[in-house]
Amino acid sequence: MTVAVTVDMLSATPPYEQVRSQIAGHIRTGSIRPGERLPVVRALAADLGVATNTVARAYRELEAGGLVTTRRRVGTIVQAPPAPAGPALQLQAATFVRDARNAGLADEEVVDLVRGALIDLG
Amino acid sequence: MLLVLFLVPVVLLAVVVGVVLVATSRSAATLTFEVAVARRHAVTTSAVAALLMLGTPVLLGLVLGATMFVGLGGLPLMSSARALAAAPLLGTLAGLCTLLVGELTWPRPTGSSRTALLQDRSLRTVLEGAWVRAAAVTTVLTAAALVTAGLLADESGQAIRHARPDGAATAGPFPGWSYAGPQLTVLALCVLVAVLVLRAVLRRSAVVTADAETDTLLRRASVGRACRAITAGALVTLGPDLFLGGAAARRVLDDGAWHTVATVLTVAGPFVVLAGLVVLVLPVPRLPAVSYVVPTAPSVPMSSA
Repeated sequence: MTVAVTVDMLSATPPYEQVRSQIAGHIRTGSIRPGERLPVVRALAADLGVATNTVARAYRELEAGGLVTTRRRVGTIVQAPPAPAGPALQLQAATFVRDARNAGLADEEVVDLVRGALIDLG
Repeated sequence: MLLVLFLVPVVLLAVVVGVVLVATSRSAATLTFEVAVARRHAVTTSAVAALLMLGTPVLLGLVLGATMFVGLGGLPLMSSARALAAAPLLGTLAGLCTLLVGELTWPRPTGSSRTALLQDRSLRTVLEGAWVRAAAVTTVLTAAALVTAGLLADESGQAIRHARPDGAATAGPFPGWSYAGPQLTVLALCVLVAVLVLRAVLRRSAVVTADAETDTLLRRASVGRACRAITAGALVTLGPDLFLGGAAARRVLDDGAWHTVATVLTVAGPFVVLAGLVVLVLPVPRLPAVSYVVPTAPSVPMSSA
């Protein structure tokens, strides 16, 4: 597992949500596979230079979403996503992001576009 | 004279190792700024720790010697001897405390954009290597030798007594509890601080632009420095104990297998000290002198916290 998480401290999105959404994205796209272990809260918080509570909250939200499970002495283990995105859907998502970036959209604007579409479709 | 005989090859070896390390070290120009800063922090900490490791016993010896001979009303002779017996380990303790401070002040990520690899760091990944095994073996051996000597010594804790047909024979100085007690106490403190160093190494933040392999290597180097300190301290403590203990035992044991064992220990003592001094100049894991591929993670400034 060599995927990374980036936190922008100047972003309007809270740091915990940035961590949560990126890890969730990695799990849903298969970059992090079920059974793999996430870094301990303290280590990831130290690496990102954020408070321990920030990462702890992100992990709690991931657990609530059924993407990870945390057990004492074992750590935080990735679960199979409840509704896994198939390869075709992942390819479409990647194509959409690439097209949006080519069109000059920032990543947050791409997410806003998806959110807008979700609202429009009910 | 014996000290000079020991120090000359060690100093020569240190010079050779130093020259080889400098000649084969990775140029800072091939490293990212953050990795270069982290390496400089580690090397500086290690140099200060080495100075304290060597300087503490020397300073302690000078102070005790001055108070004893100049008549400044220092410690009683026995307390001074005990302090000197534990001096190498006190130096190790000072060095380990410096390494701990170095780990706790490791450069932390700053800036608005921060990236971290989702990599699980387990104790096992940083505890690999010969240094860890050497530290474990020498610490256990030294502790076992000190306990054995303590049990073999007479009630004074400074001599060994052996009952013979013509009456009991006593010889000293022998590293009984009087010397072994303080040494074991400082050794235990060294182990405690070494464990704290390991904990700090595992918990410290990763170097921002370092890939997983480089980050693991930097952590193993830190662990190696702590293990090297405790290995050297244990051996330099064990050597004189073997020499003095063996020599005292030889005097009370006339002949037989135990006399041979005592002779072997007496002869081995100085070589164990030499091994401890040689260990001190051996290198720990370091960044390989090959081309470095800068990872895609964004570069952000770092500062010492």
